[in-house]
Amino acid sequence: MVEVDCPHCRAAQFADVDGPRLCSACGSSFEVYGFRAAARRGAAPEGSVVRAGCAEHPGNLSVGSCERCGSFVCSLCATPIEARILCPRCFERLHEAGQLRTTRRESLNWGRLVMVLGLFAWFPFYGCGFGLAAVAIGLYGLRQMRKAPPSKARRVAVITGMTLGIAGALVWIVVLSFMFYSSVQARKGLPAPSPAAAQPAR
Amino acid sequence: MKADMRRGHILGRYEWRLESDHVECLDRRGYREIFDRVFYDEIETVLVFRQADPGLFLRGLLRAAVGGAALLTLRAAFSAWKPVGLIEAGYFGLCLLVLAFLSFVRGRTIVVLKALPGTREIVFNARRRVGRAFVARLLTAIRFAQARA
Repeated sequence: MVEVDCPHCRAAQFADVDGPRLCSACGSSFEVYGFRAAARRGAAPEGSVVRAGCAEHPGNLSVGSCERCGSFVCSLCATPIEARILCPRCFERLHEAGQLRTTRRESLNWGRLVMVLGLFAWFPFYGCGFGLAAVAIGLYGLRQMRKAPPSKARRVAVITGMTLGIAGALVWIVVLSFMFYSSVQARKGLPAPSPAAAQPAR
Repeated sequence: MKADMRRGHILGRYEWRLESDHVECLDRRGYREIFDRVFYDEIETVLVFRQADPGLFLRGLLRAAVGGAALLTLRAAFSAWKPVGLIEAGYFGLCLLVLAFLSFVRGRTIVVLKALPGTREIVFNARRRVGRAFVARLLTAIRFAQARA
């Protein structure tokens, strides 16, 4: 029996058979495979003298200490990441706080992405689409950033990008509407409106 | 060495390689390489699911913009400017936008490896068949390593 969280709604699920299954809460599909992790690597050989045991596995020889909390770690627990060795508890803590760059789930820089889209919104003709995309992706990004540790700079960049996107989209909607209006007038054989036509004849 | 699975991102790409006793991830960001690995015999649970990816929509949107702009440039280069050129380019761009939306809906595959040292994710947007083959190889490697241990 394996206990996992549904990747879509985070509801706890119990899987007794490997393979595809449906979440009982949200109905989305996912696959679960359970294994028996063999905590054997780094184990002390039979009859050997253990001078310093691992904090998690007392039977294992320690190969060093956690650089954050100082507890002894065996080769099984030692987690080399970002040029330092951490114990599993410190790793989990830093991972959940989003302080490890290499394991951060938010691999996308929403601020930079929305800023680029907002600038592309001033691209001729297609800028309109980019502007709308900047707004949509910006809203999605702001929602995703709630889960990550707060970053004020990124949030400001997302809001700036969305503002640029809205402005660009509005400009190109006006320009395209005017071009469409002019082409319709030209097909009807009517002259396009001009300031000179509005002046009174002498 | 050839990667078993790869995924591009805005600054470079991720590569995953199935080695004899571990799966390793290499994040190539320009000249930087960030390395991480998970040993097969430390894996407790593997979770596989698919998720819609806004990045794929963005990529399709970029293609639509570049394609539409190229068509407009050709039109402007070889004939006088006419409003009908906008309509042709618009249809072309619209087709590319529909393709972008389809790739967004198709989504990416996420493989979550819950191991003793921590949780790692393998994310890729390969075709369903290629993704299934990779996951099957990964599961076989884990079973073999844990049976041997």
